[in-house]
Amino acid sequence: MKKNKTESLTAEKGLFTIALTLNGRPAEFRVKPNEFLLDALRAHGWKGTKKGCDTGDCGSCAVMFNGKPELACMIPAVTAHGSVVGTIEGVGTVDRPHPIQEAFVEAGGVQCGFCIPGMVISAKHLLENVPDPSEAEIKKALDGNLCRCTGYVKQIEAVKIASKKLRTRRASK
Amino acid sequence: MEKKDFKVVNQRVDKQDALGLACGHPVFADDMDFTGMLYGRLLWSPHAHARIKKIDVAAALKVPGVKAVLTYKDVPRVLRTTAGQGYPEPSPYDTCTLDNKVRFVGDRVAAVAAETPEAAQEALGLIKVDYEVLPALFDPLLADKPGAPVIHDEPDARNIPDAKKNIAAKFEFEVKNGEWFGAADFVFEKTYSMPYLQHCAIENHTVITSLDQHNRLVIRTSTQVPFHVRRIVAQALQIPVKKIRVIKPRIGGGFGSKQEVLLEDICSALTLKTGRPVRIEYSRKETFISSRTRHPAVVRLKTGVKKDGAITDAEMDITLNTGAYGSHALTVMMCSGSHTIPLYKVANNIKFIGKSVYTNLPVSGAYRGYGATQGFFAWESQMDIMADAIGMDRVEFRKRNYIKLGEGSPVFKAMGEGREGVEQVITSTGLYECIEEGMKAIKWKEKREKYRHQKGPLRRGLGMCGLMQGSGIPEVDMGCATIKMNEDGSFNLLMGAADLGTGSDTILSQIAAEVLGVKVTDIIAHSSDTDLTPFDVGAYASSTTFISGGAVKKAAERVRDMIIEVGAKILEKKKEDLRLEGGKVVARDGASCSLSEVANTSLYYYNQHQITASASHFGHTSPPPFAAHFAEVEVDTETGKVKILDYISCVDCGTAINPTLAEGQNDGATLNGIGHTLSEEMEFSSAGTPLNASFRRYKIPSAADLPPMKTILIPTFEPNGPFGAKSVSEIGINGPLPAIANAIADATGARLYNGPFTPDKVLRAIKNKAS
Amino acid sequence: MNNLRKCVFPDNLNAALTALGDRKSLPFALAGGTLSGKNIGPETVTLVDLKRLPLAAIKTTAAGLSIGALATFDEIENSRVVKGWAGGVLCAAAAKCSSQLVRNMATIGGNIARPNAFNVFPPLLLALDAKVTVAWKGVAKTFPLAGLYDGTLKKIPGRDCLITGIILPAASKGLKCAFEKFARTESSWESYITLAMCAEVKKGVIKSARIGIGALSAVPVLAPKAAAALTGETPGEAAGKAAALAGDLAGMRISPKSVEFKKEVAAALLRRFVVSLA
Repeated sequence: MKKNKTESLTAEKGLFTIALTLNGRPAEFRVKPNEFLLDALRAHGWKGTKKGCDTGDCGSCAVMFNGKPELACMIPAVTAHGSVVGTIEGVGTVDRPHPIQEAFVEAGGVQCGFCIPGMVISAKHLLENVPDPSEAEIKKALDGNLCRCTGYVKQIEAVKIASKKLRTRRASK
Repeated sequence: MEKKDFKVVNQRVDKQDALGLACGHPVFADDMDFTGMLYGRLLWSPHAHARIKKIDVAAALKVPGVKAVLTYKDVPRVLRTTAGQGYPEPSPYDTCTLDNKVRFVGDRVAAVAAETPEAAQEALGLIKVDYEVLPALFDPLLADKPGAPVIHDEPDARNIPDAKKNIAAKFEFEVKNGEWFGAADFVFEKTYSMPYLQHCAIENHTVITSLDQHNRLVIRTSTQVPFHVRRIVAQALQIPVKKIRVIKPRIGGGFGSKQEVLLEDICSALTLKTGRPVRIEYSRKETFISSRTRHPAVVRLKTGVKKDGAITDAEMDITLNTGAYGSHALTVMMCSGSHTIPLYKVANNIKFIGKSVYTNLPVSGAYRGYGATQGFFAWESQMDIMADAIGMDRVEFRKRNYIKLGEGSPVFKAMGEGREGVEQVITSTGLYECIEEGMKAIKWKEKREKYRHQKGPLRRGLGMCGLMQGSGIPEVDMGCATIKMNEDGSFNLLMGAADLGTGSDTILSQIAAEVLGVKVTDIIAHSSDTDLTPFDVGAYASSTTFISGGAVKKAAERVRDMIIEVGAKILEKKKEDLRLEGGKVVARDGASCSLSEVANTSLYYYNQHQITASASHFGHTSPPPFAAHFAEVEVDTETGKVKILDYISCVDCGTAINPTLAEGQNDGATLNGIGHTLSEEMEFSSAGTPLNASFRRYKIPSAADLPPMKTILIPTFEPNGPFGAKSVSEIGINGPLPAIANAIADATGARLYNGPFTPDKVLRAIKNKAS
Repeated sequence: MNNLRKCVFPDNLNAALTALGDRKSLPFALAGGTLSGKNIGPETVTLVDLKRLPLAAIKTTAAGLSIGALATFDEIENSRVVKGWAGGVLCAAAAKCSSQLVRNMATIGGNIARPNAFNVFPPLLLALDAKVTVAWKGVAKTFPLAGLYDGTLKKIPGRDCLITGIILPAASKGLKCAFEKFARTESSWESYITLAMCAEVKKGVIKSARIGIGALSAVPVLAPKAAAALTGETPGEAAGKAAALAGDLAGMRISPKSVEFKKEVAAALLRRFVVSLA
């Protein structure tokens, strides 16, 4: 993020052009004045981030925003200019899944799957900062990601499994 | 087939779609882009009860980008139900696509399709409606009293038992063997209530309709009932079924709210009018108000008990609030009795009096538990009250009276779901083990002893309950599956069954794989496309494992026979000597050939034919799953706050086709029930306006609210179910209200009769007991 | 937000205040955005994104504890400096805000900028006797927190001025605090009642007390009657019972449906706090 001067963007023909880093690559979006980052991401093909409430209360829109999990539905798209954004697509793929994604599958933490992208974003951030979290710490880190299918039991288990996988991987390096 | 021989069934197989979902694959309804798609929006009524005297859309049509504005004048007036049920649906035909009367705040007035959401929004604001506001009815207990406004006064509604009295459904049933309460030593009459509750599936209702290259209507919808959608849209818009294709993509949860044909008709109407793809996606607020809810209920339960522990009489009187329209009004009401009363033997007299009444409030419909939730709150609370009165241990009282293997109940035949039921006896039950295991897991005896003497404002207590549900609707629910074989020994499994995140694609693949002797990864499941997959009623009534699973098993067995026919020729053996195992046809003497060889032979070499078979299945009985729930609570008697210290649910679902998925289903159902118990309720203003239609104010449990909670599967073997399976998905939601009510009563002596048990109510109950 | 035509990303306070000072450009400043982000109306044409401003520092000074207005709830909750201040009561309060994702975004400045019954910091900062620094072009003023709500500040934070920081007076060793958010669930934004209770205990006697009440009114209020009842008393059951908040709550407009309940809960929570001081 450039920090050496004050920037400003002006809309042209009713649209802002924003430049951001998305999943590690430079990206340019044209966004409407009233658009939020969630809609902008989905409109540009990034469908993994979901809209569950659009009011910041369910967490299914969670993305990495300048190093923290944040609610994409609450971020005006224009303010994402110059930001570093990470979505679920950047975490892992079916061919090369992240250990957290594998852990969610193994533990049975995925039912309908709608809350999972947001939950993986939150869980990944937790494990990168607290490698061996307690159950209370896990619950607190995930308390913004609502799930109605699983009752969270196997999702918390998944985070514990992922924590072990990551620590083992780190230890063997 | 012995359980220990299962190779795929009863294994913790990974859910097929789980990894893709964890990687954010674009598989939900709104994850697909359609060229030229229009945004559909609906205009909602601000009044609880009003006639539309005049509606003028001229200004709305002029908004740039607006391609269609529909009112009741533009769509056929076909009164039908929105309930996703088998035809003829046992629900009132009282709803049409757009009407000239509105019956609740949030009822549909008009629909707009425009090129941008902003244009659609602008158009909505320009629709001019002249309403004749009518007096509104909000109290279900006043619905059938003289002077109450008549909500369904339209002459063309059908199947409403008494529209003038706002009765959307009624049913009575009595077994009389003697003088009412004549033999009872104690008689208790208590009233229990539950408020409006919402499913809160994290994905809002979403539908995208379009026309394909043959001008057929293609409906891509987040639904539990694709085939009912097809039929009801055909009915509503008066187009032939053959012109409609319904595709269910992955769904973000339903829990019953998507067992409803809610948006598909109006969205299709917009597509037919404009010729373009149209998307309607409910906002969270719209899902709360204008989709479906649980039926609020008032249950008056009068029971008699003898000192020796026999329950002598039971009179269950339930009034359900079905809201403005009668979707599922009869069936939920009947299940409140048919899924609860049979659990315990009633020696002399049983009476069920049920009615569902209209009010000018949001529409109730199917919601996990489906009436049994309301019924068990009453029953299982009352069981503790009766046990305490006669001085019998609460668990022993239940054990003395619960239904056992081989036993039946007069209720089974008298009360089904919307019609007469079927005579049946219990063919599998693990209720005893559920209770024993649960008591052990929560340390019931030890803790009850410890909590006998407590001091201070924090009081602990334990409560439990017994439960049953059903497995599909007998003689009604049907599913079909088609299996075809590929060259490499893999199989396509085509089923109508709807996977709403439950994992039915996976468990049905497991069933097929078990029969065919292959790995589950050799089964390619494809479900819920009305053009490609055969019929299935859809995901409700806890029927998928039991009914659709039965169809899959039968289809697989037919395919197995065809394979063995070919294998016999290849191996030159008698068919009776062959079996399928490990991807091969194996003879008793060990000779074998691969399934791939069989496939190639049948496709290319000899007596060429495609190895394929379909099979349908429906149940003649509905073997109940059983469960016992145990709760340990700590009540702060100075603030009313209830904390759950431990919660154990033990469930008998027969053979769990996939134990991980079964546990997950039960965990989710149970926590949902805990939400109902401690924090969830919809609130309304005195004008019927919903006040907390958001996740911010209607609180469902978050991970931080999860108490120590565990599901224990108790295996039994149900002879009528595929590989011994019964259902599992609904039963868990019914436990927390009574188990926690019983635990609070145990801890404080104060009993709560009205959910949810918020701190203010708990504190008041404690004070009332003290005074 | 339909009329938004410009977005400014100031990287220093002066630039931010200049942008806000340009009234003709119809500006509005956004910090975390969790309260205001969805309510930016058609009257805003220029958005001033505050997130790049270096206003998140948390440090102890001679005056006490200084928290930059842009410090997020998550940063405050995890700050070692804040944990060590008055028993970490600010961390406890930060932890009670909504959910982790909101705590990652929401700032303390945004939380106090406008009256809102359910916000966590206003009643606590009131009880802690905090001061707020507000700046506009060429001016920086520091005043007690209540000045944000009682008309002292004749400006609107975010529209024509910015909150830059919160200053908490140095906490004596005898300062004991507790924060209670009594709500239906854990990750709640709403609550039945929010109580911030602070007492200065010296030689086994309560020298002074300040009790902040939230959730019952848009603007947080102090409970001076209860505080007075505690002053000079010995911590314990008796003092706790005497200081029930009924007197202070009597003056507030609480819905008749819940007033008795809230009085009882408040009394119980306050009594427990007073007992804990012993």
